[in-house]
Amino acid sequence: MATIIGLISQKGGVGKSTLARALAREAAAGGLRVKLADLDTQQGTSSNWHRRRLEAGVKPEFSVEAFKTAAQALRIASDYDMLVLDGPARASAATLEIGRQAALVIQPTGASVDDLYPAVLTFHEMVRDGIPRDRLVFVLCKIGTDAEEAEARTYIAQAGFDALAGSIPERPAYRQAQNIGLTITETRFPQLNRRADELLQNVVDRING
Amino acid sequence: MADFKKLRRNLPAPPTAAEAPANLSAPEMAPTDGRSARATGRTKQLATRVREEFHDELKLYAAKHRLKLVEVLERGHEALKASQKNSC
Repeated sequence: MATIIGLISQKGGVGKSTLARALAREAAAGGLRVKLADLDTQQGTSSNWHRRRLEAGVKPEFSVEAFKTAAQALRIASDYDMLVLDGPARASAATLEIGRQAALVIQPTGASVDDLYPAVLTFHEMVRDGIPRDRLVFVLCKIGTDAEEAEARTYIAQAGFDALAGSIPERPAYRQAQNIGLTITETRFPQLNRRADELLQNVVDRING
Repeated sequence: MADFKKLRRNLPAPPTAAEAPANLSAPEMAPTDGRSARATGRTKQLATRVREEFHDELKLYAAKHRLKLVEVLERGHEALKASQKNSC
């Protein structure tokens, strides 16, 4: 059975696809059979990105597929070592289903209250509906300064949730890499790659307990 | 002059669990109003690659005649079938 990682959020543009692609890439590089499931067929963010990756001939290759529903994606989990679910920018019954099936539910968020407030509400709702709190983690993305990150961490801690150590800073190089089918661990800048990789390692460590 | 650099900028308190909404009971697929796709029967997607000039020409024609692209396609197809019938 695959290790299932769900990337969810009520909002768009917070970093779901960014993290999902990087997780899948690193898992593939580590020799795992990995499937990245793009659950937003309207936008197809990861599916379109995968097309760019294939056209550029970037290695390692891994499978990205669009699914209409979370249930459809979850059904093929047993064929893989890891299933990364890149959820749509909307909370629904499917978000709850992802929470029930996943080893870890990651909710990326920016540091603004506009991002943090609905993100905390979504996790509160998942806990209320039976998802174990320790299965839910925030990842801070598009961070500008250390002070901003510290404030966001305090906010999340006050709400009673965990934020993984590390963060993804706001850098054009991350966007540029993804524009050409690369991940945030494949930019031209080793320091940025390392920073992203350290965050992904924290995801692995969290799953391993 | 006041030194605003030292002003503490803490974020407000986060929402409590009691404030959690009921989004997770919403259906996975957002409901539609059922007017456009169902009424027209145009429920299948059709995608293809075309030359840039043809793309621009098609768009301009549709705009000029206040047609949707699908209407241009449908009418074009009907015209093609009619012309083939006439030539037989």
